[in-house]
Amino acid sequence: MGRFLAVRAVESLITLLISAAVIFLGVRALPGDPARAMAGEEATPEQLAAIRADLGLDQPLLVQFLAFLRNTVTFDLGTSTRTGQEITQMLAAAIPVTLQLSVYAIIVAIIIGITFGMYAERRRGKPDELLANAGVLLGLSVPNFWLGLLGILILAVMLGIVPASGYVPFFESPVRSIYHLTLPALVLGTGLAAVIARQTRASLIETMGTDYVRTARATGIAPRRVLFRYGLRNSLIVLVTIVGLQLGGLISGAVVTERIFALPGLGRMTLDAVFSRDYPVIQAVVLVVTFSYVLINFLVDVLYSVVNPRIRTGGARA
Amino acid sequence: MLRRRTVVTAGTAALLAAGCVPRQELEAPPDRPNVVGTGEPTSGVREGGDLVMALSSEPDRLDPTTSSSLYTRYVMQPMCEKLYDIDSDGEIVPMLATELPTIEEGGLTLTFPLRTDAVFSDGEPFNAAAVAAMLTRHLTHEASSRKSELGPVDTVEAVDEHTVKVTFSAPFSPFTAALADRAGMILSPKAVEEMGDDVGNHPVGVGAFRFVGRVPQTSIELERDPLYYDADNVHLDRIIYRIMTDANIRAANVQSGDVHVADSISPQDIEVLEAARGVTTLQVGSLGYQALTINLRDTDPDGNPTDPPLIATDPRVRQALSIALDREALTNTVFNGWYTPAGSPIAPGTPFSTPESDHLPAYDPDAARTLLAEAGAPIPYPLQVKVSNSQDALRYAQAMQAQLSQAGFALALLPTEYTAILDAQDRGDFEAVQLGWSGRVDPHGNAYNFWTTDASNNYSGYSSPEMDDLLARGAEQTSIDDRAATYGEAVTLMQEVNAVIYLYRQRSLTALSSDVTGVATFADGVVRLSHAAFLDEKET
Repeated sequence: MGRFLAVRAVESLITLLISAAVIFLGVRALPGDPARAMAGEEATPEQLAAIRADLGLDQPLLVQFLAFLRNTVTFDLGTSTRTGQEITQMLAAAIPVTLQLSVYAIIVAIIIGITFGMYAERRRGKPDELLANAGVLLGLSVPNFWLGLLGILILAVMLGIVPASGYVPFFESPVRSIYHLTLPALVLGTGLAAVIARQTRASLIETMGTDYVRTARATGIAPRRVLFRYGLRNSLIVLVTIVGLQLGGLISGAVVTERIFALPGLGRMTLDAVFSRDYPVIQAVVLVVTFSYVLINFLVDVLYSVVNPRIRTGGARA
Repeated sequence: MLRRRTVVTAGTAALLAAGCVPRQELEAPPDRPNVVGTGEPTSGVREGGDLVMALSSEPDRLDPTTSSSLYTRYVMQPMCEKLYDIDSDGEIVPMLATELPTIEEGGLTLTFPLRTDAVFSDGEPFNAAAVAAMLTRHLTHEASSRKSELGPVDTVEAVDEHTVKVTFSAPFSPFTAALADRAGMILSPKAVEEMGDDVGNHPVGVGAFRFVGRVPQTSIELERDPLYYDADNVHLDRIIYRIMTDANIRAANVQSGDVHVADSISPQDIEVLEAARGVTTLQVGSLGYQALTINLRDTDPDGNPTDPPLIATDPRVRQALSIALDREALTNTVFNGWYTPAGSPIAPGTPFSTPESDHLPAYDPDAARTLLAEAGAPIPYPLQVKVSNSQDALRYAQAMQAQLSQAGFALALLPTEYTAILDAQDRGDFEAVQLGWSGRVDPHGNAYNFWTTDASNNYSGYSSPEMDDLLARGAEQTSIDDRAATYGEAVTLMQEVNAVIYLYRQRSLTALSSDVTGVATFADGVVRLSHAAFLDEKET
């Protein structure tokens, strides 16, 4: 187990280093730089030069990259070139929002997804399975931005049952916080719910056809108990993978959702930073997101090896 | 550096060419007078309450010296008053100063008196020393964005406790107008001294409200300032600015009641909002413009000599382009008559507008073809236009593309993101670029830097002694009538050389919930909330 963990840790570290280099070069390949974005429409060449010198953008790339690496290792993420605020503070404010939104969206997705999936499996071959499948297909195909706008229009403007925007920190008022995030979580969770529903259905169909389920049935265990105890439980390993993989996807989905609902999360922070060429902020956000991807994958691997010990030896050989 | 090449699909072009040819007579747009405010709240207003305004773009540093975002002005208006302001007619009026400046020595000396009852929100007195310190900071701070706005200032001094005197090395009439913008915002000298550049994270000015806090990318909060000189006419407890960059979302939030005021509503949404219950709209013509800038340079972005295209060397091709545009039809069709066509950098109805500056080049596609033939240009004449990828700009560009094809131009549109387009402009990496200018109160700010030789915003590379002379004269003359006449002459010359081809002028459209009063917006687009209030429910 120890060796397995060590190998995975080293792999993760290499991934992080490569992505740091890629993102560092990537943002600099964009046309226009922070000085250009900051100075806006009324810039004079002297002003641009002054801002570039102030931000150290007139230094050679290698010098800038080494400074970036050194600062990253010492957890000094610097300040935003646009607003002059500490990036650590900005992240500390943005991460809880995205995290809360993602967790909420996952809960919504799991509830909707498993319900739909089980329903589709139970009604296999009947007309309403078609309905459930069509619902899943719709959930997969509808883009977030459209669903968000539609949600605002129907639920907030016409019916007025949820707010159209705004964020209340969870610890300030849990109830209002959840109330404000309901619509965004629904919008963000829909795609994931569809994926979970399909997987649940497919894997339930497989599990329910196995010998041990047949045996369980034959011994006279109640069908509901067979479904939950033997069927669903054994389908869960697939779901853990899916949710783990999709958590990363949720963070990118949050870019759109957070923009639509004016939520102050990581996604919004990234988008604004890209538009204003705020190099330090883009770098910091991408590093944090990469880090969380790597961490989640690492944890999923560990979780696997706990759930299924055979994976441990496989990992160690690699 | 990577160069982005986005190619517009031929399909879109074909679709528009088929659908948008304005051959039939168009209905004249409805007359849309400016609605600049809800009126001052008199009786029936509720004291207190928190007003939420959706702001379309996030301000940068809240420091009048270094800020380069126009949206900084929105947030500063209630908490950091300026020496001068503009009124509903676009005229300059005193704010923290009490009178317009006295001009002496042929424009070399300016003196203005200040309010005696104003106090900064940290309790420090507002006086001539504070004003002198702030203007000096604008002139000397190395990251100042204000330096060029203030002109050739020699000295700034406090003559007495409440009188400021400014001397110039050459007359500079646009100075007063600059003081009606960010250059006229005065911060508490004590706050500047204690916080240095950090004062932008906690600005301290004279205003109806004072700064409370800012959550990056999210919100800025202000609260009522009890020290304000006119505190009796302030009604709200707090103002919260929430950043919402998407126009549709701002409109939806006003409708759902989650925000009370929203700026920069799209012409696409305004009619729905006007019809909606509980929403009123304010609208005012902008001082800025949208235009097509043609690259006249004979060097590439790296400074190497190139063979410039015909449009750069032959003014007849540019003239053809200008008269091949039916500005009125285009603007009315694309923006449902909400925006107005433009032929010059000077907004109509402002103190500097003249028949010359209001003149629109007449639409004549046949004459355009003849001009192209005379210039020996191939027909269709290919032209690559970089255009901002905002919805409004793209829709206009596509309609323009369809219309110009009638007169023998083949436009290739390159939608480009805002910062990338600014960068392309700076480097001269374009054949033609369609972009706007937000506009300034004084015409100098809308013309000089774009048209004089080697000026900072002269992206076309145009240069002529005649234009340099006219625009320099416009800045030095002191009478408004003389200046207006000079700018009129300059516009006539601009329409001959067409280095910048003016297209249309936007309107600032603001939506607000109908239970809010005391909100105003003038030609600078800034939404003024200092005296806003909620209507008393019992009386409505």
